[in-house]
Amino acid sequence: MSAVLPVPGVGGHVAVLRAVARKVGRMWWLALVVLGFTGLTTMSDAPGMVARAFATMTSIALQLVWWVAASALISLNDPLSARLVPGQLRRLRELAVALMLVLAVISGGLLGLVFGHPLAFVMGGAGAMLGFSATLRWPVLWFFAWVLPFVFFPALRDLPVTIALVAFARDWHSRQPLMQTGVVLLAAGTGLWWIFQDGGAAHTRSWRRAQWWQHVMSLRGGGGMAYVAGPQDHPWASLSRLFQWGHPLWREHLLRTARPTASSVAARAEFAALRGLHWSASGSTSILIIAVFLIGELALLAVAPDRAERVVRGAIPGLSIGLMSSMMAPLFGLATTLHRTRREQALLTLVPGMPRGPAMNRWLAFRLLRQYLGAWGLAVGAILVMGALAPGEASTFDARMLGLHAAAVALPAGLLLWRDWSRQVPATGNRVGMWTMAMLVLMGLSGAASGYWGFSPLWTLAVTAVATIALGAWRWRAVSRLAPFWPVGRHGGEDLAEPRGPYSP
Amino acid sequence: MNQTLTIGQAPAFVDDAAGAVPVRASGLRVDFKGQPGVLAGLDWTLAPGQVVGLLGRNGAGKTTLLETLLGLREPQGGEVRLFGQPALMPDDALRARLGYVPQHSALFEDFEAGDLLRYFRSFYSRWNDAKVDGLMSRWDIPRERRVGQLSQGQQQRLSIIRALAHEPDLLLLDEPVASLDPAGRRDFLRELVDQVLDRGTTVLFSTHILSDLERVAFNIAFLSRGHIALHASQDALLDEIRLLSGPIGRLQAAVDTHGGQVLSRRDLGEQPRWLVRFASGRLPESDAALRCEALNLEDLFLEMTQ
Repeated sequence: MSAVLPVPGVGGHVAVLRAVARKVGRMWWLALVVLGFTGLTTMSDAPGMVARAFATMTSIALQLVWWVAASALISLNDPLSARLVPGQLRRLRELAVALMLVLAVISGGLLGLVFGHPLAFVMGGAGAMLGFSATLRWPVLWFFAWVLPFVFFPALRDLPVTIALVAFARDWHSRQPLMQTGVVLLAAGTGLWWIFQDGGAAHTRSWRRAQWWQHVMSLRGGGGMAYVAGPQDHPWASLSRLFQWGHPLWREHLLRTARPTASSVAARAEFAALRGLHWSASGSTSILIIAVFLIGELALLAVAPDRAERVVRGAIPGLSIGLMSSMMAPLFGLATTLHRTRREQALLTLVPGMPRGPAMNRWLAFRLLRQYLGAWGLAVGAILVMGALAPGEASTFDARMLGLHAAAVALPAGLLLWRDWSRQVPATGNRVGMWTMAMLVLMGLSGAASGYWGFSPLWTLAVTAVATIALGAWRWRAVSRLAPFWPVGRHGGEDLAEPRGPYSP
Repeated sequence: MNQTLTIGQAPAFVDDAAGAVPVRASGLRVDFKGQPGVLAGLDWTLAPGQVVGLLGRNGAGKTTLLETLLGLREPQGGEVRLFGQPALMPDDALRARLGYVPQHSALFEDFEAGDLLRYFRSFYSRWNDAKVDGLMSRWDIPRERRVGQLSQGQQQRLSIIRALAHEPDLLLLDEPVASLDPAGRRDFLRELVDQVLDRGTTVLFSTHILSDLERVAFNIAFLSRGHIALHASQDALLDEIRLLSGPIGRLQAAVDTHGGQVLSRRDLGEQPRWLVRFASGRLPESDAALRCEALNLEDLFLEMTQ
């Protein structure tokens, strides 16, 4: 963007749009997903299935496009540029609102053509886009977006005030659909307008907070910046420490029991290199969430047994998603984390006792897979226990076993940890997106097959376990032949560690 | 110029067979994708107890060279031996003798400073607690603060303390003073000199701050075009190297007459300039046709690396 001098008028907008288009252009593979999924539905006999699939997949793809575009736009809204570059803030705001409206209208129109109620879909799409943009400004909203609806929605939806609000919205929509849509879009546009900040102390604070959150997320395996001096005493910092309660305890244990053996040295080195992806951090989070869930379930059963079933069953999908993402976090986050700690790895390969050469690869490969399988086992166990303990009829059991389909896919995928780390480049958002999409498609196929032929997901799990053992035996032989894993990425290119903005996708 | 030109305190006489040579690199070749010849058949030897300042322009390959010397990067050709052992497969005894301060000091950001030192202490059988405590206190680094929360200068100091704590015999530092203020740099350099005087540590450090080199580096090496273009003691550099300018015929005559060795030539325009090393006491004099200039370190850096 800097190479383009903004022409008075729309020149500045075009320059920003080009910068956004470059990032959106990397999502070309979404078109393949849409076409592929739509192509699959041509095998169905159900009338209108192809159109429904195309409209739905395109709308989802457009939401993802918005995520990338909004990330790119907000990453340009840094405090210095917002304050010092004339007209930059206005350009970003105008483009963001215009893009949101265009994408919402396209996706809503498509869905409306197939399912009816286009204006309602336009409003829903705009609302989702505004919601995502808000999470970029206030990352803590991710927590509320993922966890709270699953817990509170089942409890809130029967309240008189909820019922009255929904009835009012429906009534208004039936009487004045255009007016309602206009008001909602105006509100969404206004909200989006003010998400972009105009520099100054408050902007700097929120920018830093976003960096800090990205750091926390990166500890959980995402991408982003290195550590920034952030709000260490902020309540959310304490919360993050609470969620990783086992991490410092395990470090103390490692230091207390340190020995000059390869096993002990590798364990300490791995602890520092994996950061929040180390099992002691991710396991702490999983154990905490499961414990809170179980305590909550027991409390509900004791205090409000009539509501317990609905609340618990409503919460299980959200918790399953959390456990599944915890299970798969190393797959998506390890490349980024290890690339970010490659300088630490360089120091650690110099300490006495650290295995080098083929021995290093064997140690690290073994330990990585062991950790992965440990997290996997914990998640699967938790899903099974949650399903078994959940009140309700046995017929709903399989619906709660959604996580097992993810587990079946995630098990062989764990062998991706045995890659040539010396050539590994940091994972981009697009690559993670492609992986996520591929996993979701495989999960969907597993679920569809299980539903169609009526077998338990445990069978899928058993089949993939056998496949994993066979593939693992084959891959293990290659591990010793690969270049030493650490420092990661040394053969993968030299300019891959450029710092990025806190909102970069 | 494919050979290392070593003048002054030549290290070639050191006893490699006894494993006493801290660093011996031969034929090192490292290529990057789209950038061949980052190291192009580099030969180099460091003698025990030498303090060598490594100079080179941005992107000359100083960091790559240091990483390759430590065995952190496999060269496409050649070999590095540290104290007689291959750098790519060092045993534990050798690793205990190595210290390294990387260019980026914002490492282990989630550790508190004190925890980081305890962490590294767990790897080494030898650890000088008194030195660590003294430096932590003198350099005012709070032990309970996370590394990510320290200033850049404090992070760099902490990195230096970590590298010195196990009292290495070979210390490699990649721009160790880049983030330090003048007082911090002076303090660090004093510590470095003490380390060398007390323990005979061999020190190799890259830097762009030439005044620091003048203060502590007894030897200076220039990395240019993938080679060590010149490695000499500072005194020898200043005493024996001259920049000659004049007609080519006159320059050649001066070199021939005084037994000079041409280090670089810039034959552009009417006044070609040659950088020439002469044996001590055999320097030519300036006259009407020939200009013979002594160079300070900065001028020499520019001439050697252009």
